[in-house]
Amino acid sequence: KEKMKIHYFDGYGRAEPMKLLFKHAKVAYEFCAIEREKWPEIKESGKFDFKQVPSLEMDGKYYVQSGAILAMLGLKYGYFPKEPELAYEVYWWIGGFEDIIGKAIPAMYNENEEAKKKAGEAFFSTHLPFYLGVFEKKLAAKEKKDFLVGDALSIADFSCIGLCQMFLKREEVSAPFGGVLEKFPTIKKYVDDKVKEFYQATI
Amino acid sequence: EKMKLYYLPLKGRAEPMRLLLKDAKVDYEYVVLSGEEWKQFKTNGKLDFAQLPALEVNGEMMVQSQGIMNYLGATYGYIPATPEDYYDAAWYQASCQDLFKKVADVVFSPAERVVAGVKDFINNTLPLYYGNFEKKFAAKAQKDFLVGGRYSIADFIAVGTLACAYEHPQLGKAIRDEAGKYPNFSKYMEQQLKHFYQTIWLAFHLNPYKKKK
Repeated sequence: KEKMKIHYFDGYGRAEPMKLLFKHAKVAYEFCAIEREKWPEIKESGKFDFKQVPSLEMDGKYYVQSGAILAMLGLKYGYFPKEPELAYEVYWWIGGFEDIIGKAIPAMYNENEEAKKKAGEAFFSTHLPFYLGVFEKKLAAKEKKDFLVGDALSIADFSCIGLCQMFLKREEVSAPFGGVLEKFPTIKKYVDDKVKEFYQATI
Repeated sequence: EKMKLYYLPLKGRAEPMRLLLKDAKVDYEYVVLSGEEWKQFKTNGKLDFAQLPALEVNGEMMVQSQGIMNYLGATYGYIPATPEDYYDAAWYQASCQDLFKKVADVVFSPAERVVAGVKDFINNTLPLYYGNFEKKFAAKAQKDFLVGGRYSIADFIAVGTLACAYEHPQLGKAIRDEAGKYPNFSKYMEQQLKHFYQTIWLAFHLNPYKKKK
């Protein structure tokens, strides 16, 4: 059986959660890097639905939408709880992460330098602290604080760490992100532990 | 205790949940909030995130449509059984989330902008989304449901998202004029609209979402 392939750009982006899932599940896959300069041409070729990457190639079919892919893999490899309350919580977290990314985009990608700077200030002084505050309250109320949902790893955990790496591994935003994160001890401990666990070298 | 669904007096983002609860024959309370009541509701401290719709279950307030749909789907048996089928449902969910914003732009635009909005939707939005829906749907052996041969969260999400588009006089007509390009998906939509809303007459003339005094 042919290995699954992830088609995406190099770096920490929307494919990170699925990469972390594969690593934890010990599932081998091939990463097919797309060069940014070649992307416009590939986009128009119609190879990917909605002209989007990341795309997962599995048994000759292409799957797009990182959230849908992650959910499918979560179900396949046991990282998606079936209980209604827990399924709700998975998406409570993931919805929050998507909102954070939405607020961060004008701060990271903006042609207008002035607007970009303002968005960055708003993000680190208002939006990010707000969300981390809600997350801190939720996680601190849990008995098991090393899993976001229930008492086992789920796609919510992979999503969270994938998101954090988007910031922690990006020079311009790593320090301010870390600075805000430090103010929320339960979340900070959770992130530190998981980054260590997920990225440890495999033998 | 009955579930309570809090929303504004329109289909909007709560329609997928209403369709699911209708199919599951669940007795729930629909709490209609006016604009003013929504302002107060946002600050009552019960919501994690100030968002509507909100679903109150045994005293707990749930927000975020995707989470609520997964909760209701898991509770009443509408979660697709296989990872592949769940992928399709999640794919429709993500597509409809984006599509809803574009539909809302037209449906809620002031009268003088409707014509241009409908034209833009038909030229730019519809081909992209319906093109992909048709591609995915045409490959299915049975075409009564989007995924897995039975009602799932995918159906409620797709129909619930698009119902207000079909109901809008100009946008609905424009979408129906294009049905020939997307025969399978269009036929599915008409079937489902008839099933859930009985007749279009009912949808137009009896607004069940208006607050009763």
